[in-house]
Amino acid sequence: MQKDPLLKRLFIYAVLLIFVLIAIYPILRVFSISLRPGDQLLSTSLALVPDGATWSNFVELFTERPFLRWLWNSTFVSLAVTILGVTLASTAGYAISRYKFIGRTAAMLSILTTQMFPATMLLLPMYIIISKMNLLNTYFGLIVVYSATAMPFCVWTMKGYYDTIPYSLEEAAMVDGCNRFSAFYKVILPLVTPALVITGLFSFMSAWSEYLVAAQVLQDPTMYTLPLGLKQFEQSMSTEWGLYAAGALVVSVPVVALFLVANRWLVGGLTLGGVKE
Amino acid sequence: MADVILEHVYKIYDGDVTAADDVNVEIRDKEFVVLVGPSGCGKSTTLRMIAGLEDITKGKITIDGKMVNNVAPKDRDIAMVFQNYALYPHMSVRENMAFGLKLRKFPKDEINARVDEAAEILQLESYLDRKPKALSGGQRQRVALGRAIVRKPKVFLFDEPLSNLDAKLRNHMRAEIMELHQRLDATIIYVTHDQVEAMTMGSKIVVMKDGLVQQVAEPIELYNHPVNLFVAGFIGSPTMNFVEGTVQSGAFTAGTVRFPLTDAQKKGGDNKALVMGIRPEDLKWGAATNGSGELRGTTELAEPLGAETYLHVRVGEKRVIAKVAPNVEYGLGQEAIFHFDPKRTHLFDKGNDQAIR
Ligand SMILES: Nc1ncnc2c1ncn2[C@@H]1O[C@H](COP(=O)(O)OP(=O)(O)OP(=O)(O)O)[C@@H](O)[C@H]1O
Ligand SMILES: [Mg+2]
Repeated sequence: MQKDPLLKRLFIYAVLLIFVLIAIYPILRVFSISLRPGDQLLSTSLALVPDGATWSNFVELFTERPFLRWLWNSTFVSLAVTILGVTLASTAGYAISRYKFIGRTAAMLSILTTQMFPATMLLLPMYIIISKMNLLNTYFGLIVVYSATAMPFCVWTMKGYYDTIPYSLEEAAMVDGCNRFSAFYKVILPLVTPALVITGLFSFMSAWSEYLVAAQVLQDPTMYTLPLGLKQFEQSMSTEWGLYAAGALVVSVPVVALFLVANRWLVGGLTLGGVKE
Repeated sequence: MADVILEHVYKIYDGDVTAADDVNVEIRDKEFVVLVGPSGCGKSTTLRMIAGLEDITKGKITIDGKMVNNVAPKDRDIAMVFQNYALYPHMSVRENMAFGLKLRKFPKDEINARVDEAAEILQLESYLDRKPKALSGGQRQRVALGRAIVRKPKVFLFDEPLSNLDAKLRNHMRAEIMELHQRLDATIIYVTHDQVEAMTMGSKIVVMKDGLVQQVAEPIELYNHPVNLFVAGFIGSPTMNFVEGTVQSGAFTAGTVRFPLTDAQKKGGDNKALVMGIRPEDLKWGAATNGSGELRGTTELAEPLGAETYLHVRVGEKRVIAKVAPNVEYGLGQEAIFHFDPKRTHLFDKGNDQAIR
């Protein structure tokens, strides 16, 4: 690969650096606020590490507030949505990619159409459905809604990925001794790992950070997920900014960690070399 | 014994595309049968029906005496080599080859022994731990072959396995596959659109066109006695020369070309429209002597190949190609005279393209 001239590279780095700063600055502010002692919450100081910095907000979060409870609730709901989402999307995407059936195009288009409505618009009908099904104030209700909203993107992603895998791989597997399902399971599924990771991440994230739907479905505070819990720090008279900031940071840690871990499987080009087109 | 028999096999796609039209072929045990024909003639479709990857619209396929119309590919005891190799990208070469045996629950020792044996035959020993993407085209091709031979199936199916290779590698692999055939003692059905491959490899050739089987014969028979104009033109390189003419007082006549016909050939009576075919090597340099036919034209182009020279000669409206010795003294733009043995000509009825014998 040919190297760009020095000046051009300097320019590219400068631009990238500016964007990194823009992206990272708010996070640093949140971090700074989370470290503030109780008497400085409304300070306008811009110091990254405030005077008298303290971890007390974090300690309070875990010891005096039901934060661990929310954390567990969120983890449970998000994992359930992830498992359900990946299972359904990987099989549905496969069917749409590989089989011709009546209503295939219609199914694909309607999946796409659902993406055109803003989520808030679906809030009321969704609420009615959930309440009619007696799923209000249940995790199951929440999981169903989350999976359903994440599904269109996941199915399309999976379908697009399956489309890039030549059908002859399944045929080779079937001649080698597989039936339809084991060909899918043993040969195709391992090849779509990147797409599985993407759909998994997407499902997880859409559940993890969701507020609006959770606020409608869940009423019992012990069932609250993290976003609902955090919102509790915000009261009509005073907002506990220190706790809020500390909570927000802790909430984002698993997401960042997930991305770092998943990165490994996101490398594309896994199918390269198996077939020659 | 692994005979493969196709009886009145049809494949009709989506109700209108007839990809296989009443195909009847009998493939005997240990035969090397080549399905050949131009692109879209239904070779792959036919092969895939034998593999069980494509449903049969009508007809019957038997392998080893057992009707397999409704038998899953995995239960037909066949192995297939795909045109695009279809190696499993996430498995090493060894795993690729072992996959089918593992699925069939072979003991580990047996699997290893078979993979090692195949690797040795195909000279893949040093690549066994690599992934397909770290192999060259020829090596991938060999892995695909290896994956088939470790299975020791009753029937091998090849769908244009060499078409992605360069000419040199193709010649090499061609020889390798023929050697394999002798070594494995297996029935092979091989699809190609390359008539040279068909001629050199097949012990029997099935020529197809538009889903119809045109002729089933041994290579030499096919070359010497094509049953119709299509087969005559498809087999042989350079292709057979065709001259259109008529029967005039018991002789084939077309411009300056004239030679007597046998009784069978002149059966249609005078003025019957015929097409004469003559292979480039059957046109001999020099004027006719007693009883031989003669053809005159103007030399337009010469292709000296070293061992022989192809002369492109204008005869009336048509151009014919003659294969002559390298020492023939032709002149471009000058008259060329060839003679030929009437027995070496092929005559076809212009009405239905069928050969007249
Ligand atoms: N799935 C399909 N649906 C409809 N028509 C098809 C399908 N598969 C093949 N065909 C048609 O059937 C005919 C035969 O196809 P086939 O693939 O058998 O040709 P082929 O002889 O193998 O050609 P090639 O040398 O190009 O591989 C073609 O006209 C093709 O367009
Ligand atoms: Mg084909």
